[in-house]
Amino acid sequence: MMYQEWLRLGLEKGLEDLEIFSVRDRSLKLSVYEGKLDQNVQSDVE
Amino acid sequence: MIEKKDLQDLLDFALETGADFAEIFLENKESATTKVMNGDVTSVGRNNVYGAGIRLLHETDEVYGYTNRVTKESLKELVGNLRASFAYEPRKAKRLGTKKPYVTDVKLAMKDVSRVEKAQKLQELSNIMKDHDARIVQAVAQYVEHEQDVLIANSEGVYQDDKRVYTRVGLVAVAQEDGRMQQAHEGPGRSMGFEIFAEIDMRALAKGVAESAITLLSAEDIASQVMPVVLHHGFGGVIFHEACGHPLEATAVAKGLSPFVGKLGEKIGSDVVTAYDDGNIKGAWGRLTYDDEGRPTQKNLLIENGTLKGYLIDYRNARKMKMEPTGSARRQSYKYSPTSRMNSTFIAPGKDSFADIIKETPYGLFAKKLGGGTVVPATGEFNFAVQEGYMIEDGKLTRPVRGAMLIGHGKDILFKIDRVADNLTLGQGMCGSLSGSIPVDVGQPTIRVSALTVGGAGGRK
Repeated sequence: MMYQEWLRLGLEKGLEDLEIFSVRDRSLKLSVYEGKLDQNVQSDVE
Repeated sequence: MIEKKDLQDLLDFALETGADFAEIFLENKESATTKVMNGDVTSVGRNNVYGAGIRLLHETDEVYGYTNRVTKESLKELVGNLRASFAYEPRKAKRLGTKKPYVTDVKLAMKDVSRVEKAQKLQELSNIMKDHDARIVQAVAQYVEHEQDVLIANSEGVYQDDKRVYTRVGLVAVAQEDGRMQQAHEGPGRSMGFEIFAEIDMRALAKGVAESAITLLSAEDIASQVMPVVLHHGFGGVIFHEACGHPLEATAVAKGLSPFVGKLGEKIGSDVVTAYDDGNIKGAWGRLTYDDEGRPTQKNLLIENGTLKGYLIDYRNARKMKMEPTGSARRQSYKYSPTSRMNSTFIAPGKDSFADIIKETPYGLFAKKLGGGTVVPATGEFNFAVQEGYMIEDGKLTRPVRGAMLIGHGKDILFKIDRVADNLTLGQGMCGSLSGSIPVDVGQPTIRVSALTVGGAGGRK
């Protein structure tokens, strides 16, 4: 990722402070309704 | 974006382990907010949601996955993980069809109007509220805009895109006097762009919000009692939305979690009640050309002269219920599997006039504006706060009252509606449910409920 470049550009544009928050989240959600698997959700978001 | 051929390959790959339905939902959504408080711009925001959601079904079993790594390789990896849930005979996806045109009536899109111009409009509205009365201590005006592009492809051959543009203005005024504080708000929204300011008289609305907050300062607590309640048009429809609309969604019906299960063709309300959910009202906040499964939205008749005529049904629940989908599948974003939801839900206009309903009510409560509330979807039990209310005495609106809480049961209230006016309007809100938070209209003409429990802090009557 070009975090350093984005920070430089932001400061050049006159921002006093600039923060970039980046997260990668992988998840699995299972839900059971009346003894049967009702939902199975998998995700990968960056 | 992913090419059509790649989508076809992914759908074919998805069915190789026996899933009998596969769907790919691609989304790119830009949002922006501007907020002004007491004439000053206090915040601006910009947001982009971009990603893909993939759903596989075998009969009614569902696996769903989503990612914002939208490349053919990453989507194939996701499909691979999802299809591992199934081990049946391989199937073939149908060839993807041709996109049909969608409708957008946007005249001034997000990029066509500068931030400065938007902020100036809000500053004007904030100042109208603040300058209305010295007792207005806080005047907030907010502008929220969304532009959402979606593409849906599924193994039944659906290949459909849609563009949704939503714009909403929020107005809040807080009044204070002798340690007492009251708040009023309005939140008009439309499926359009910056031209919402030409469509709606925002200045009059801002003045009305400030006036409501001032009126409430002198309001007395209402006494708890069972009484006739006249619910005003527009956002008054939120009770129908919550207590009757949600129980008519297939999400509740298919699981048997609704008081309306098995009642099709039966009387569930009084003769004066006819209700619809319409997904395709031009310019409406809850409008889509195509739903989030790629089906055209439509006007669904729910109740006709008190008889239950239909439910709101998505594809998966249609399989469970052995009924046809109704173009009602919606989701907040690619992070949610679609399910049956409302668009613009309303009670149809009747023949009475607003003035006659008030005149012919000897005693009761006029709920001019409703606030928040809660509902138990499985039973339809609800309670809603009245934001602005007035007593009706001898057929006239008399004093303002505050703190009124309407308490009842969806299936009971439908039988107790005895008057319906001819002044249908829609009110806008965000509806939260299984597939996230989505823009919806609630609506009705002015209606009268012959008897409703009203809670209040003014003792018992």
